[in-house]
Amino acid sequence: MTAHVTIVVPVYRGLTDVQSCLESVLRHGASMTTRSALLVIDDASPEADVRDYLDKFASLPAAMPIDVVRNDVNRGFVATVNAGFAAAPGDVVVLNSDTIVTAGWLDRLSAAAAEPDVATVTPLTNFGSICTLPRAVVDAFALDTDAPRIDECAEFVAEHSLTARPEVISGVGFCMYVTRAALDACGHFDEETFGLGYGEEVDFCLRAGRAGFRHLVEDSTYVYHRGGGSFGERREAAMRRASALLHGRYRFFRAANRRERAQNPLAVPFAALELGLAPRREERPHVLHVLHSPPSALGGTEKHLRTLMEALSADFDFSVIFPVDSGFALRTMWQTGRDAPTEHEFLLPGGAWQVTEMHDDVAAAALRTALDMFHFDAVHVQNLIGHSLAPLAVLDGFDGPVVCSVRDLFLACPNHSLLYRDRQACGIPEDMALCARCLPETRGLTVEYLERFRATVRDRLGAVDHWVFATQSAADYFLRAYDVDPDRIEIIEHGAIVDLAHRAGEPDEALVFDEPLRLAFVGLGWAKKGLDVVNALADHFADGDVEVHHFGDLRERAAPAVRLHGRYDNELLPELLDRAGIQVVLLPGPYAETFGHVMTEALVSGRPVVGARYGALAERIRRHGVGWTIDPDDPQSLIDLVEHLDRAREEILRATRRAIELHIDPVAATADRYAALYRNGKGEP
Amino acid sequence: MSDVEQRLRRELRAVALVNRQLHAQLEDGGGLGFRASRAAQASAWAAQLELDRAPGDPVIARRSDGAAYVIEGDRRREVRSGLVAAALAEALGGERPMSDAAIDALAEGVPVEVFESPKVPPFVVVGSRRYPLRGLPLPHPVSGDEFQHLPQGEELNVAAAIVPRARFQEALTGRYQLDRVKRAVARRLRGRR
Repeated sequence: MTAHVTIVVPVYRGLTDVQSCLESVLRHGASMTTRSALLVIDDASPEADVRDYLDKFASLPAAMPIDVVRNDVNRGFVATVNAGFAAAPGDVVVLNSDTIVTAGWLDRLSAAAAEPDVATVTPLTNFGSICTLPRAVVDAFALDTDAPRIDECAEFVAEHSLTARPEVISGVGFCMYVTRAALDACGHFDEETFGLGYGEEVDFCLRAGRAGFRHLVEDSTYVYHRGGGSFGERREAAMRRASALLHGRYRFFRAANRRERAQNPLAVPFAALELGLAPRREERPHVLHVLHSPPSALGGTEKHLRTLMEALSADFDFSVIFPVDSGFALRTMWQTGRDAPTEHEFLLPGGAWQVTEMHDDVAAAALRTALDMFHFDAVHVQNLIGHSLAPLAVLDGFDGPVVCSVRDLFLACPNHSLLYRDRQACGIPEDMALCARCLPETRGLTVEYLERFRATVRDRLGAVDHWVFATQSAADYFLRAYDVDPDRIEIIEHGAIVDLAHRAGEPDEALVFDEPLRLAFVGLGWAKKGLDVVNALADHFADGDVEVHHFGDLRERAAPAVRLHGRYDNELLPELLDRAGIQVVLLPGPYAETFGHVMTEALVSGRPVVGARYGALAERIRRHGVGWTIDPDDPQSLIDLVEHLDRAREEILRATRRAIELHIDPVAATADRYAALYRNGKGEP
Repeated sequence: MSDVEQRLRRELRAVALVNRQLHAQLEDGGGLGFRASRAAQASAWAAQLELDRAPGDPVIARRSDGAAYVIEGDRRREVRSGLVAAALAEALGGERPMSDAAIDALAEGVPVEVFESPKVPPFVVVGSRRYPLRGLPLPHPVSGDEFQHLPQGEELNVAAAIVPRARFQEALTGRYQLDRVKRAVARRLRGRR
């Protein structure tokens, strides 16, 4: 033989497998550029049909020289391969007879083998130790079934592979390309020790490794391997025996093998294939959300975002970048089929979880990496806490629309609650003297820092094409700190993030007129949300008929007279308020809300609301007449109001009716406006 | 986009995906996760400390069995490290005498543990203030195998080895020595009975 590569196929039994194997070699031989020959060695097959087939096969027309030789007696797999090594003039591929090769297989193996110091090259397969494809790929192409989609899988692997050709300790014997240089340097398989099969290729590879040769996995080539047929039931025993022999000969092998399994040199190539299984449909616009927490978190922002993404899922694909404790994560959520979105999560380079710098280079690098990794048609900044102001600088160069929802006033002040000591609202004062007192105490920052912070934001305002506020009052607050082109401002109410099926029908007049007045403070129990004034109210009415209840977690201590109900599920709030016989919901915190999801939940349950006299709650209460406003700094104003309401139940009934009759949109009703923004149009309804 | 760029982009995605999977294993505490689980514990403590803010100055007290506590309002916070307890006793003006019963009657708060951040030196949080630590011997991480071949010696109890400077100075006084003799005599007498 004068071929450059000799394909050696030892045959013993199993006509169907042998036929499939040899015919696949011939089928793909015609299109190969590698000069090759096929050497089939019949190891004294006991099956007449196999012998007959091989007799005919030798005379088949083929694009490569075919040689069929027959052992007089059964010599076993290892000795048969060694005979092949001896007969071949150059490189050899040892190919099991229960394999099926695919297009371009030998050219790619041969190209990998041409790298320096290579002893063996093994392709990927569905049954082949470390070279076994990920489960998802095996399943996707039905490789474990009677109808494996072999050529499709090979095409997929070739297209999505990284062609990283990772190094391994040992090749795998089902289809192993062996270079002549390695054979010359290390000899053939150890027939004497491993003559019964199993372990001979590992022994060879370890010998070659010691001699300075490398073993590569050709990760863009797939060869089907039915597997398990070579030794039938004796397989387990043969493997155990081989393992013991190898351990005896190479004391480092088990530890090295364990380390290789743990470090998995194929992890990245396999990840590339898994990602290739569900590619994004390029025709669907792709929007990146910048968020301060995982999108699955329980906060109102996250729930609103999830609801919005679901509402737009028919037309858009989404990804979310958010800080985690060792960097930033990018979660992709793409509609690749009819089922739920396909999700993947990527770790981007990063540092500590809580970014505190004004411009954090790590956060900038993470966002740039995300923009490099995938094509995005639009970016929607939901919350920059944990990202610093860096994303605004990065997005300045982004060529699609950038939308920024102002969900809190972080961009106006790092102390974004705008509360001094969690209690006194500042309202973004003109006089920075207050900031000079507040910032060192609340954030350990100076007023000069705030000035630099705002100057930085001001410089980067241009990166945002559309500023979205849920209420006019939120926009007004923002405009106290910055001049923003009015054309770039959109007011889009958030809509309800709870199911509107829970909406109340008619006011319960008996409850309003005949029961003691019961007020529910809903939400996280701390001063920022008004626990102080609620405590004062409860203390005032401790011996009277008015009851004060709290639904939610407590972050600070509640007065003894407050009736605590603990954590609640937003969806069940109406039912909980019904059960407790609540007539009015209290949201008296000094924090200037930019919208107030809890207020929406209260209105969905048909309860009027008491809120601060400023901010989004005040705006909504006044606009719709669905409650009353108070001064959060003045607990007496709440006490006076409640005393008045206790006497004037008719007023509660009127506000209750307005709450029940108020038109409340679900988040989905606002989705079209966001869709328009993502397409760079105006967000008109 | 060129083939090379496309391939690089695919590789970047694959590496980031694998990194996230490894990171998730760390977060779940599997295998290498002890550091991550400590980080999770620290987050929980930080959240609780935010809730437990107490008015007034903290003090440090010690039970008769030697356990040290920082008392903040109506909570006791155990100080497990002798080094930290000694340093805190110095910073908080010495140990406050308190009976075991009085300490036990307090609600258990977050233990006083050392927090670590990449941006500032290690610190403890007491009385809603951050106290940076100086002189704390910081461990240097090793992969796990480097020193496994060495035989293990006796445990060094750093916590027990340190005593507050105040107590050390007290030990130098004649009154302390006299009390020590009295206690020894009392023990012997009890033994005879």
